[in-house]
Amino acid sequence: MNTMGDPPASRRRPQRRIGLYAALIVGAVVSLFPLYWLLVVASNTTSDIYKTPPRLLPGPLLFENIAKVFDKIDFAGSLGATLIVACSVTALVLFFDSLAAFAFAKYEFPGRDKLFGLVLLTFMLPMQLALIPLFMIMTTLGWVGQLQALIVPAAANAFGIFWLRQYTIGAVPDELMDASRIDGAGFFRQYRTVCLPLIRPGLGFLGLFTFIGVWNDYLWPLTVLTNPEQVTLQVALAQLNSSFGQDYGMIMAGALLAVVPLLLVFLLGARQFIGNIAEGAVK
Amino acid sequence: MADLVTRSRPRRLATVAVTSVLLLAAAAAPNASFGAEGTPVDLTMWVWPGALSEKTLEAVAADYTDGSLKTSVIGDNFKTKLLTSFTANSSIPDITGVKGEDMPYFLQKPELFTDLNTLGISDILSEFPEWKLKEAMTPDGKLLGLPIDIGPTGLFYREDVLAEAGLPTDPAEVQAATSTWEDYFAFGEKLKSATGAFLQVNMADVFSFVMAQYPTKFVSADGEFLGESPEVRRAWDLAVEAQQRGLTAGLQDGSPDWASAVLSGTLPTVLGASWHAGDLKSSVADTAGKWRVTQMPGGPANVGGSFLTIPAASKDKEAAIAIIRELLSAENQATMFTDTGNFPARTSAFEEPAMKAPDPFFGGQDVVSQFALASESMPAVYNSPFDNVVAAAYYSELSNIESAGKDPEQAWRDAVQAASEALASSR
Amino acid sequence: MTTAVSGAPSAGRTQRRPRGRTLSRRWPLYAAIAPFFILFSAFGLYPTIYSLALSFQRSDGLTTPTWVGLANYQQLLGDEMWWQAVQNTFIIFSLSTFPMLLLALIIAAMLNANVRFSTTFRIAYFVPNITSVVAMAILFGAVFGQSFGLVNSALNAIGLGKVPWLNTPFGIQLVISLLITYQWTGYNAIIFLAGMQAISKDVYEAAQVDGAGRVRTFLSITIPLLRPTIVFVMIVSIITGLQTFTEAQVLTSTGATAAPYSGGAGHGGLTMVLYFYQQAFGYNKFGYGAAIAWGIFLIIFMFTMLSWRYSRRREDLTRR
Repeated sequence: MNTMGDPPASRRRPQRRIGLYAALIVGAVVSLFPLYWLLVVASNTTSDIYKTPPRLLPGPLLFENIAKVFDKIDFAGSLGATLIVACSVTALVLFFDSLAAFAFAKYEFPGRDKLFGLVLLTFMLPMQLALIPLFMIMTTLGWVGQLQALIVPAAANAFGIFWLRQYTIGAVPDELMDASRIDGAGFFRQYRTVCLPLIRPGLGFLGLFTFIGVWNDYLWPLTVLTNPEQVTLQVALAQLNSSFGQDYGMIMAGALLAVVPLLLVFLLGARQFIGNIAEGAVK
Repeated sequence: MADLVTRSRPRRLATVAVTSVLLLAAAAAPNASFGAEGTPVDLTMWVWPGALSEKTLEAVAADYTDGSLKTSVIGDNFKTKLLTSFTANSSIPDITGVKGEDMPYFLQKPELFTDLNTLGISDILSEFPEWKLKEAMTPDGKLLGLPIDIGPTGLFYREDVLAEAGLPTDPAEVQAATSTWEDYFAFGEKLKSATGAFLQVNMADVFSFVMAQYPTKFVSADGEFLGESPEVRRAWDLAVEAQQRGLTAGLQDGSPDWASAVLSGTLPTVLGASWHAGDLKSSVADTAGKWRVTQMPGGPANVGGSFLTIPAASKDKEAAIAIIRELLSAENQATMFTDTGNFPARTSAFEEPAMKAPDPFFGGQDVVSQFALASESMPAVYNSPFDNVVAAAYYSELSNIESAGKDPEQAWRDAVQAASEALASSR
Repeated sequence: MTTAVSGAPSAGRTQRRPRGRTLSRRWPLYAAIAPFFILFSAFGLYPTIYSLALSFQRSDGLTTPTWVGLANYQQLLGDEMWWQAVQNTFIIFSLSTFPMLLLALIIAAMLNANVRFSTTFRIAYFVPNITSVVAMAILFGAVFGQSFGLVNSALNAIGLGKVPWLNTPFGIQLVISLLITYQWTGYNAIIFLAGMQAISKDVYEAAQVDGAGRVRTFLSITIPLLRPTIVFVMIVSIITGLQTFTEAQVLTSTGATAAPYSGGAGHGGLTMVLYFYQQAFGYNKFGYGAAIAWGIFLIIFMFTMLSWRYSRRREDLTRR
């Protein structure tokens, strides 16, 4: 499948293909270069960076800088906190959103379309509107500085419902629905036996997407996590970055540490993730 | 079949509910422990980088045996974080530093802090300068904080770069050559033509140090707007003049660009308080030995100088004041000076041997006497709680002149207008 | 929208034969969608309404708030810093969005052209999107340093002078835009790719038979058929792009108490949301901050509606 309308392989001009590959490779290098640069800075001293021209190759100090990071901030703690938040939110989002999406996708009930329209509407509200009051609500609940403040408000989101509904409509055939109904299955039974197995790839996509989003969230955690001992990775990283005496080697080592776990999770699920989007998840 | 359905449904819901609750409970595990009789009381303390010596912090934490003392060093915006904590009434530290420039603001909210007079400190009060104590005192005599350091200013300079420019390098000679702002600018022009170096990091720097030399800032003690006073105007004009004569580098203070310029010698002169030495030592350690200190052009001023306070919500005020006493002991104050450059507020600290030792960063110069000299002639300044909000307009417009090429006269008018509006809307 | 294999006449939706029209039969459905609405009401709707009320008050979080009516909004209309923030946001938006969408389209087209290692390439292009924005912002701050940054060293090496990236307002905006472009191009490329792959082969074969060249095919067939996806991506980009915060805050952060969150030199990096944060949490003006938040919402809403209308009209025009 290609958009360019290429002539069949036997007549494809080799130069064009080379040009194509060259462009793709250049783009890939540009995409990945900052990661490489991150590694370079994280493994050298700050003075090496201030020199003109700066060093271009990784140095020997990676582990030393990493040790400094662990010294300055409770990296393990913030990693743990971020993991808890990301996993909890992802699990809750997958559960609540798939449930709602299934209902919207495969059932008729009074007010369904209006309610779904309402879901779409909520998607348009920017989060800053709610930020200050949310903060005050968290104050009243006593959740400021606690991880629940990050988990509970994020536990169901409109985008997930919207996207999963599209997916569910396509992935769950009506015949299976009819068949299971004849067997006497009610909503939750159908959800468990019919829907879930079929939307698993879609869940995988949404799960990864949600996980990444929560992992990288900054504004709300910055606002509500007032206890410096319990912050997420992004906030901890920003705390490293004060002015005067910036130890770039250390800061970038911290940045590298913040990126690596996510990269691993991503690469593990990448094929499915990328494959999923490309397999017409946008229907 | 219907039975199967009805039986599994509640179980599902139950599993989900339990899992959710468990997840939430795990996330909600409290950090601090509140002590009853005999149980350990864990305390938290908040400071910013360079507030106190790290060695001292560790030693004091080790000495506190009734529990653990956890010190959080908070980079980024300290006041914002502290205020957010107070607002949310959550994670409030048991001891916290308060920067000198923020103290006027907090003085308006004394209920957030403990009156230290009630904790039996009258025995040590005489060892702190009266004017500094007043900065943390409410009109009805409550003392909200004990001073950590004061901020006598000086002129830090690289003697190697000055020598290269054929300028005097001995502190007394440099002081003689730069005793007024006009002399200082002329000095800077010589520096520029010889080595291409800049005198000042940016216009805001000139502005803020000239302002620091006056007894009042932007708002008077009666709440009157002083933004158009001749003093403010002069500070403004000097900043503009510095820029027009090509003496400012246009860099952001404290940024990596600044550090790079200082390292390379493009910024060989730095105005700053005693605590600025700590910033220099941590950012440009490679230039150790090449720095000297002399008196600031136009006369000394006090910039900065912070306090240790005990929030009203503190768990154990007795333990907190004991910790503060230890942190501010004469010996620890001297250590603080050698480690961070903060000039001790406690006068008895000057007897300590550490204060008399020569500093290798300054090529063995006795910088203590320079700052001590400055501290004797610093003007007493009234800081209004509205100063920061009002000053922001001026710094904003200076930034516009410097990086966006705005016309200085227009900028002045805009600054004055924005500043007076800011004052009006803050009351 | 493709439909699953279905014997029923309706498109993918099942008719549940009502065994009784009482709500008790339907309760699982409402229970299924309830969590979202409950959470949204508590943490989305209620705060939004509260914030509207808050915008009519003066509150610093510590003292009791006072009611001031429309004063905050009046102040906002005359607030020069606010309008500068709006301007900054739109500049950053323009600098980042249009190049980014164009690049994403081109990359998607390339990836679609039957290349080997396509999954590897796709992963490589997607990686920027999953790296932490904070980390990347710090890195870009170092890379674009005036006297020592990598970019200036490179420029210096080829004879062009050093550019004061982060010390001029426009430089700051440029770096922020570059950061945004870097992060989102790959992501949007993958989305476009998905859209492209949904276009059926028949259309391309017909075009080939007609003798259409590669570029012609791309412009006249691919792009029009991709329109819904393009519009979707554009709308999402508008909504998220106008809310830029992290990149701006991290790139311009200093510890200065005097002017917290002020957006760096000449306030070039002061975006709307950064200004909101500055007023709300830097100066503790919660009422004014709420008013700013509503200002942001109105601007985003109006701009999104305008873009939506515009794209609609273009669509109608292209239909013959």
